[in-house]
Amino acid sequence: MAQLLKTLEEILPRVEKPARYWGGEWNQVKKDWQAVPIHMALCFPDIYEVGMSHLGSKILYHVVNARSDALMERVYAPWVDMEKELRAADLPLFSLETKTPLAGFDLVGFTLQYEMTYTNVLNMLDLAGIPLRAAERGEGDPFVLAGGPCAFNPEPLAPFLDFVVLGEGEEVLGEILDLARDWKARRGARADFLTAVAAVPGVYVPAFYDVAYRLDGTVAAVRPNRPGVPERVRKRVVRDFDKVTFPERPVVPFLDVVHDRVMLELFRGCARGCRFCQAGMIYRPVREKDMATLLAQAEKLLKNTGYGEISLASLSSLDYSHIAELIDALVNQYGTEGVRVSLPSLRADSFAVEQARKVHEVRRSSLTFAPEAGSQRLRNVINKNVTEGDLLATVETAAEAGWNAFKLYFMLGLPTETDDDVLGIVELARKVANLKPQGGRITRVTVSTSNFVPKPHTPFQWEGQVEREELRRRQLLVHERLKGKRLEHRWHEPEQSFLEAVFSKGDRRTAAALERAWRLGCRLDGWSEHFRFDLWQQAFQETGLDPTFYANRKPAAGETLPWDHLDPGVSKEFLLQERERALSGERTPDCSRERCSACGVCPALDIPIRRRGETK
Amino acid sequence: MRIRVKLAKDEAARFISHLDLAGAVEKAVRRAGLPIAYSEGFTPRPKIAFASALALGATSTAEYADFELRERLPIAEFVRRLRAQLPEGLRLLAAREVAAGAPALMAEIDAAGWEVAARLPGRRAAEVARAWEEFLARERIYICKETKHKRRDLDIRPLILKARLVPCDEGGTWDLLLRSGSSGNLRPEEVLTAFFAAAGWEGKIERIHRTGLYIERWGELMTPLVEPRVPEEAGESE
Ligand code: SF4
Repeated sequence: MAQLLKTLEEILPRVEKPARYWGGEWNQVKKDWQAVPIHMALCFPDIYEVGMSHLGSKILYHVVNARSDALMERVYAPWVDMEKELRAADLPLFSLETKTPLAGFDLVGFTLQYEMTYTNVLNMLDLAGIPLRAAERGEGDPFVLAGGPCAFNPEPLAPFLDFVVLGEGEEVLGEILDLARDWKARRGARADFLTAVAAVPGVYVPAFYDVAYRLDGTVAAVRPNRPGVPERVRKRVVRDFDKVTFPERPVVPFLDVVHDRVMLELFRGCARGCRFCQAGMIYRPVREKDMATLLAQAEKLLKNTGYGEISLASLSSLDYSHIAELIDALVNQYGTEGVRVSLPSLRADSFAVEQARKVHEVRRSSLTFAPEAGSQRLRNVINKNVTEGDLLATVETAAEAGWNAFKLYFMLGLPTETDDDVLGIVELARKVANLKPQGGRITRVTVSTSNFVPKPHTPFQWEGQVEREELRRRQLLVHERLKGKRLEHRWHEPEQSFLEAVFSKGDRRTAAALERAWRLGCRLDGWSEHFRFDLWQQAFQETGLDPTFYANRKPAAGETLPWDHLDPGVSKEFLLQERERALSGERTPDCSRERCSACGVCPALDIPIRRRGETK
Repeated sequence: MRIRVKLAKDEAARFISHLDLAGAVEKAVRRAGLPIAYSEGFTPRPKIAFASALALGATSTAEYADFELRERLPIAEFVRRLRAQLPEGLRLLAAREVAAGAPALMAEIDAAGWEVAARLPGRRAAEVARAWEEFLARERIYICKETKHKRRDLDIRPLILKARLVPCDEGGTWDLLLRSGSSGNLRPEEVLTAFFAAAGWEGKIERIHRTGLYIERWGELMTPLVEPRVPEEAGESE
């Protein structure tokens, strides 16, 4: 370690933002390595500033370090300059806390938030000197695991992972650590641990399952290849979310990270039921925290971090049962101490504006709404329950209250989309820009169009992505018409979205292309300055894979999907039924406010069905 | 009230940039619950002002900052509360009250003290000492300063106020007192680079440590924590 530190000190002055690799932040947990039997690394396959903004990682760090028999240390993907230095100096990737090489940990866990970070996973393993493929790892190598939303289809990474955790990590990690501790004390063999961990509900060991393919390339079946392994692995959830351990002392970075503020998690899940949204399906059901719990947590978090901002972090924070009271309480309590409250996203209704008004500085910030589609027809298809009238009225009220810049988020290439829907985006944006609010004015309307990516475990998992050239045409259709003084268009390149679709819906065979692309030099693919589509195309060609098979093809309703053996609790029947309803433009109400739409999660996980705000 | 503190930035904190240091101290102040004053406007900032910036990677035992408080607080209590909340590698060395109307720290600094360690592979101690003496004996030492738009040659000899070298085989340690701030600004790496070039040697700076910041008053250098003494004659001559 002394040598590593010495080399590191030589390297760091040469790289951009050396604090990314130095640790020592406030609230960092640095334990006595020798005194703790189990060592786990928490790897975030993106750079420090992104990883340090992730709430889930903060929670896991706290949960593991709260145990006396385990420690967790953080590792982030190095930026290109640091990777070059590490390789030149032959320095293995190391943890921030004790500067221990990654290979020295018992467990190396990755959180998978985004498909475009997959090459970073491989790169980090390689930089750590850990054999890339699980099958190549031997006694003494760490176990490599993964969790997070993308773990609900981990097949493209399956050969590289020893095991995968489905669902909420704070629920299942404890059991895994117990097993690891006992196994290590026994000096057990590698295979014994994998067998033991495969028996933990929510844990999926890819090597224990075989995939058979049909001649047409589709999956015939995914079956366990040994006794005692479940046919389907079901996700884990925290039942009493109010009582769940919460990081009261999150690490406070020195660098300006993406979300550098207190993150208060109001509830888990979202019941709005947008049909494109994977988070809305895999994080079901909605579970809220009591307001008293939240206020107590806010107080501790502010005191322990020194942050000047609290962000209400949930999938749709304004849906919290007592949101108005909560905001009032926070603003009254902390507003005078220079602490601001922020809302990450807004619904298009006057209530939202009213809440935003309490917390935002009107003259500086812009308001963001996400109508997602340009026509009412298409919004019905995706179950986005917002009308043009709602949106216009809301923007008008907001403009009257003093806001003059607005951002509108849309998706292109949604199922059934026609040019009329695409042009609807332009029309809607124009209507917003042309509003004549009393005593206010609208100076800028920014339209952001991303490309729809069909996601596993959603009603749209049977959809294909629209071809790249066609997506580009639709982007241009918006772009060319959205010219005007106060209008601005931001768009996403279809190539990145295409790869996202490939790996979102990919099976195990795509792992070969992933590895090839990484060997060709792909990494940090989420950063457009490093994204190399030419190399990706070469990788697919060389591995004989047709990426359009994954991204653009529509699987048949009866087809076995590569992720069908992984069970988020939401039933396939429900997803199919939602798909039907989508195609016929029928809406499905919010199950936490109106009626249960029988998605299957609550009975499957044995959680009582409850309306929002109902007490236990 | 305004409190001026002297901080140390140790090894553990040396990769925190100057801007990030300000952020870290702000958070420490909030954790400590100190009654800091805030600026006006839409995004109020706590009123904390640092003296000159320290380069990333350097350590220091002379970082100064002024804290504006909304209410009076005994210095000892301020120190105790802030100390408990400073991250690893930041140490509060001293503090005292300064007059509320005192000029901004940043504008006051005239000189900085440095300790620099450098390696000169293959050079004997005596060789290093001789070359350094020759270098310092020059009447003028030109370096090329590059600002945003232009390059100009600058004689840095008058900006080197004091310099002492403890040579050793393969390098040495330099004790430098250099002009810093509005009255001229010279960085220690500029001095060493010029020296390496003059000697025609390959050198490598290994460590830079700031040992002091000084304000010049009536021909005397004093630290920002020392109350300037009015010399007897000064009163009349000014
Ligand atoms: S089972 Fe019913 S209440 Fe529970 S999440 Fe599904 S739709 Fe909502």
